[in-house]
Formats: sequence, C-alpha cells, structure tokens
Amino acid sequence: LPEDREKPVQVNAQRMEWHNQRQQGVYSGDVVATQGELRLEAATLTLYRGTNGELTRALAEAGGELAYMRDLPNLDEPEVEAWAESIDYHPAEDKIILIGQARLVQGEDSFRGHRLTYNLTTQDLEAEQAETGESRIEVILTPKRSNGN
Amino acid sequence: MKAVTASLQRLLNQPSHRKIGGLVALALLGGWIVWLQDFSQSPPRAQLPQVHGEPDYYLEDATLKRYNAQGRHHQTLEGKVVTHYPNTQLTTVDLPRVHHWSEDGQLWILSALEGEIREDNEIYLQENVRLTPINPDSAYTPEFATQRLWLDTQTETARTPDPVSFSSQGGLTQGLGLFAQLATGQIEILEQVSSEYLTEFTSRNTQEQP
Repeated sequence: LPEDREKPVQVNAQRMEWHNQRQQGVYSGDVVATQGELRLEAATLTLYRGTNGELTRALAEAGGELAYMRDLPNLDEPEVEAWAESIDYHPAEDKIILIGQARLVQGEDSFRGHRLTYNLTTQDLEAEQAETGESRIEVILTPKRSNGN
Repeated sequence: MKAVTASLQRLLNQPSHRKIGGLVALALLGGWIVWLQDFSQSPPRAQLPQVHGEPDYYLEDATLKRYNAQGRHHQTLEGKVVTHYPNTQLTTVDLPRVHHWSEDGQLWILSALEGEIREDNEIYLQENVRLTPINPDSAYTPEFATQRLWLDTQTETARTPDPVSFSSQGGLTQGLGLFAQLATGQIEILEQVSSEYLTEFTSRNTQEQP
C-alpha cells in the first residue's frame, strides 16, 4: 500500500552478521523482511545503511529456491508476486529490481525476463533480457472481461 | 612584652608547670600533624570481599595497560577498584572499561558493572555489558548489549550465549548469542534474530513529528 513506504522495515532470520568495516548487516537462515504489506523471503538478506544509519538498500538473494516478493499495491487491486535469483529493494525510490529467472505475476498477467524493474507505487514495470540473449522477455496480459461476456 | 616574658619565665621555673607546658606542646604538635593529614581521600576499603580467598592487593581508580608478546599495546583496562586474589590467580574489577585495539588498529570499547581478569588472559564481564566497535568513518556508532561476555584477548574474540541487543541510529536488532571477531570487525548474532530499521521516509517522518 502507498502508506507502507513510511513504515519501518522488519527483518526476522536465524542469524545476523554485522560487518563493522563495511557497516553492513547480513541476515541468513529463513529470512523474512516486511514493510507493511510488502514481504521479501530469501536465504540471505544484506542491508545497506546510509551515513545516518537509515536503511538505503536491501538485497535479498536466493539459496536453493528463488527469492520471493509479495506486495499489495492497493486494496482494490490483486496482489503482486515475484520470484528471482536476487531481489534488490531501494526504499527511497520505491524500486524493486529482480535479477535472474525473474518472474512477476499480478492477477492473470505475468512477466518474465532476466531483469525486471518494478515501481511499488506507480506499478511501472521495465523488462530486460540477458545480454547473452538468453531468457527473452515474455509478457502475458489477460484482457479484462467486460460485463456480460 | 618584657613583663609577659618574665611572668612566663617565672611560671615555667616551677616543676609542675614545666610538665604541663610539655604536655600542651605535645598536644599542639599532635594536632598540627593531624591537621596536615589530607582528609580529601576516602578511607581505604576496610573490608575486601573474601569470595576468592584472601586478596593480596587492591587498587583504586586503576588503569592497566597490557602489551602482547610483540610488545604492542593492545589493551587498556580501567577499573574503579581492582582486587587481586593469589589463591585463584583472579583479579576482580568494579566498573571495568576495556579499550582493545585489534591487529589492524580497529578500536573496541567494552564496559560493564563487574569484571574479572582470569588466569588464561580472558576477561569476563557481567551486568550491563556494552560492546562498541568504534568506526571513525561512520556517522553513527553501533552498540551491542548483553548480560555476560567472555573476551579472549589471545584470539581477539568475544562471545556470549545470552540474549543480545544491537542498537544503532535508525535500527534495533535483538537475538540470542553473540560471537565477535575483533580482528576482522565481524560480529554475529547467533539465533532468533529480529530487527527493525527506519528507512529514509520513516526517519524523516520521525524527525518531523513534534
């Protein structure tokens, strides 16, 4: 939800490593990060902090399974779900970058590609294939049925 | 003035008066010596804890500088009262505060209400234990808090199995158990980790709220 962006980010995991030189926290073991309706699940999560300690970036990376993201853009819209090898969240820009076997689904629409960049507020989506030409972009848009047919 | 001296002379010539005069002089001398005593110092601790046997020495407001085998000053320990017990080769420290410089120059500050320096170069801290890695390049200082901590000066590691909290500006983490490698600046919270972070929006909103 739009107001979720102003909420703190909660993280739960089995372990956390703090790297003082890099001022970075790395979570591992069943990592779940939430911010309102936004939910990230991954094997590891690396948090980057700004000079005043605020969270500037959260990079979720897959272990065996792909990293997972779910969000509810608005109350009257279907949930958005996404999977990728890495999910890179930039809170200040409301931006989520999905890289590696990226797939995003909302209702009956789905998008595939090597790299998907999704805006949590505007719901803009930008899809890119891998430079090697693999994992071409695939978009499936299901026309909305008008009443009666 | 001559009359006064003459009458004092006459008084002192009598034997009994001479004795009294001597006593008065001694009393004055004693009073002067007592007056010289510096009463600003608190009296030494009359009763030292006997928990570890008979202590052989204790220090007040002490600073201990420790050097490793290569002669590098790697640790300074300050204590309100430092008491040494020969039977157990144990030194207890009230209000210990440890500055530890790791091999690469990283400074760590540890403090607690009570501490012990043990035989095998281990420092044990308990109650209100704080572990703070100092990073001059960072605008904020993270702090780890727990109830007990074992600092192994030899391996430059610190550990506890107890609940731990890790706070810094804009973030709070809690978990169970800690293992810190002072040499590399890496600190691990071992189990049941739960964190909350402000983002740029939340921290800006938090500041704007009255």
